Amino acid sequence: MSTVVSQHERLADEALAAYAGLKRRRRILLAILGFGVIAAFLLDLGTGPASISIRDAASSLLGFTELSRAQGVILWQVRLPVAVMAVLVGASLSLAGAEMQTVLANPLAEPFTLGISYAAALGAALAIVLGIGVTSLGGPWLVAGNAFLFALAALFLVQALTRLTNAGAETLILFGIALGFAASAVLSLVQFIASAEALQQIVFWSMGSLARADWTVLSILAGVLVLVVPFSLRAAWPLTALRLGEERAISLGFDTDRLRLMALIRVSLLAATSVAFVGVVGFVGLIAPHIARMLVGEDHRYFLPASLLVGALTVSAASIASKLIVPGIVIPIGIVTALVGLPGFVWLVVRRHRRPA
Amino acid sequence: MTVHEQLVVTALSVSYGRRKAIDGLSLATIRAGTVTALVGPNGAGKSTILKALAQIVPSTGALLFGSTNLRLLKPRERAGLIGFMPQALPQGTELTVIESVIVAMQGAVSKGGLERQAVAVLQRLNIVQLSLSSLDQLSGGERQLVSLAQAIARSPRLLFLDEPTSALDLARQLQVMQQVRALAEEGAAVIMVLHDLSLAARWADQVIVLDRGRLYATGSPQDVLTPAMLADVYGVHARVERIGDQVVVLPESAVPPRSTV
Repeated sequence: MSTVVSQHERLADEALAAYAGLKRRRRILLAILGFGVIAAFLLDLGTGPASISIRDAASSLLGFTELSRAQGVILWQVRLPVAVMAVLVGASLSLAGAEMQTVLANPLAEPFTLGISYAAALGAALAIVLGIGVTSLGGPWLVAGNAFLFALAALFLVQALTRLTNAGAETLILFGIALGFAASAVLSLVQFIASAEALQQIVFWSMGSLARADWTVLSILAGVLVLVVPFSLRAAWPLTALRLGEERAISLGFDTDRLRLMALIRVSLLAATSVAFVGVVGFVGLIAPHIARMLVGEDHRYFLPASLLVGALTVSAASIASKLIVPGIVIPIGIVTALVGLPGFVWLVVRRHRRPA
Repeated sequence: MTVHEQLVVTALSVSYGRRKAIDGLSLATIRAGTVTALVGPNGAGKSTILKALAQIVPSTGALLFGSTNLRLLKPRERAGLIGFMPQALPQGTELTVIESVIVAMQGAVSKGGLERQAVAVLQRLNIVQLSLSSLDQLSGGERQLVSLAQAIARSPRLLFLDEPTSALDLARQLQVMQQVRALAEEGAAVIMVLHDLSLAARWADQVIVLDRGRLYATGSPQDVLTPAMLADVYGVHARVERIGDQVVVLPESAVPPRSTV
């Protein structure tokens, strides 16, 4: 009898040790991702038409070396804002995508596939062309504010439609695609009637570019991220429970309606501010959470931070690539992520359909 | 152990949109320490009733357990009292088995003992070797056991199981039913939806037969599982045999459709 008991306890201890090992591996992976982001950020700083090495850039940032005046301007006013922007936008879009995929129980959900980015582009275009806006502030704030509100409205419209028709997850994506098409049709119309100068602005805006970074914009993006992340992390358990299904989550005492609403508000804030200032950057919010999921699984205590880091890493890498593809020219980041992201999207769809039912 | 508590369900109604799925159903008293099988043909409303009792779908009517009005409980209190096992876990979840049980225990167990207790639940169901498997890699039967583990993780006093054995082989059916009996003996009131009537006869103290959202009969397996009931509710001619003190149901042929006049 006692051997049975000790056997039983040995198995329990083994299972606990194995789980402790799993958690340790995940923490190590998060640390590696964190270092990866820092490395990509520095590499981003050291890449560009003007020759400033990574070492010079890093030591100048830390105040060890003085760069020439021209180099200083390039580093502090061009490269640094862009590199910080890449990290912030990647983190925001990816965290938004991760939360969206969980609360909508759909692995293809992200701001881009749900038409939110195009709605934001439409909002921006209207502000550029007509000067119609909801904020009394002028200039870039009008554009960004409008983009933000259109993004928010699109998200809630898709939600409401899905809820009204009592439709499933696939339908939600279809509504999103339809909304994206509708927004881009109206966008074309706006472009058609726009003046040449406004047209150029719109096209530039909708390409998605990190070049609009300035310190005010960066502080807003950082502010939103700092505001949202603690709430996201606090929702880690209920979000994890939601992965066991709606019924299970409710039976565990979680208010899933409220959980979903709060998550979508966080998603709107993150996605809409990113899109408002950077334009359309597709697929990051889709692919990065999937990579994070493959690395650390879906315990949201690890999954959410991992998504954030993978997103930051991805956009930093894209930022580096955008400077290297055509020497001397910085390609808008949205083009780079779309080129890389599209095959990833196809891969996800194929992988999903291959899964045994 | 409190065996005096009983679940009383009176005038339960559930609507989906304008359609009333369940209309003013009152069930026989369900005592703690017993196992009740909810049976009936597809569409009889078995799962709906279970979800209404677990308050996963909105319903009206009185739900009393002992002196507790289940409708007045806060969600977290309810989660500690009621364990619910849905028909299926969603596909595509990349959580490990142990994580899925730990998340089911959140808030019910103090942080320190959480992992050890999750392991104990897995051991109880003999699936501790699956701890680190992803839910997505499991077979149908394994998924069902994990789902049961989640349902019993908080040691609930009311346990509602929706077809707990539908994907299980014979050995695992036996194992799950033995666990269900053990949980009842520890004081839980168990209600389970079953399709296999012989299984219901073997393991349940009480059988409730539902037909199109209405109560058809309640009683011991011997009293309720009769050829007349099977013809009437299921539309099949069946033999009901006794082997020792066990009832075995053997469907033989379909009853010709009832005239609609």
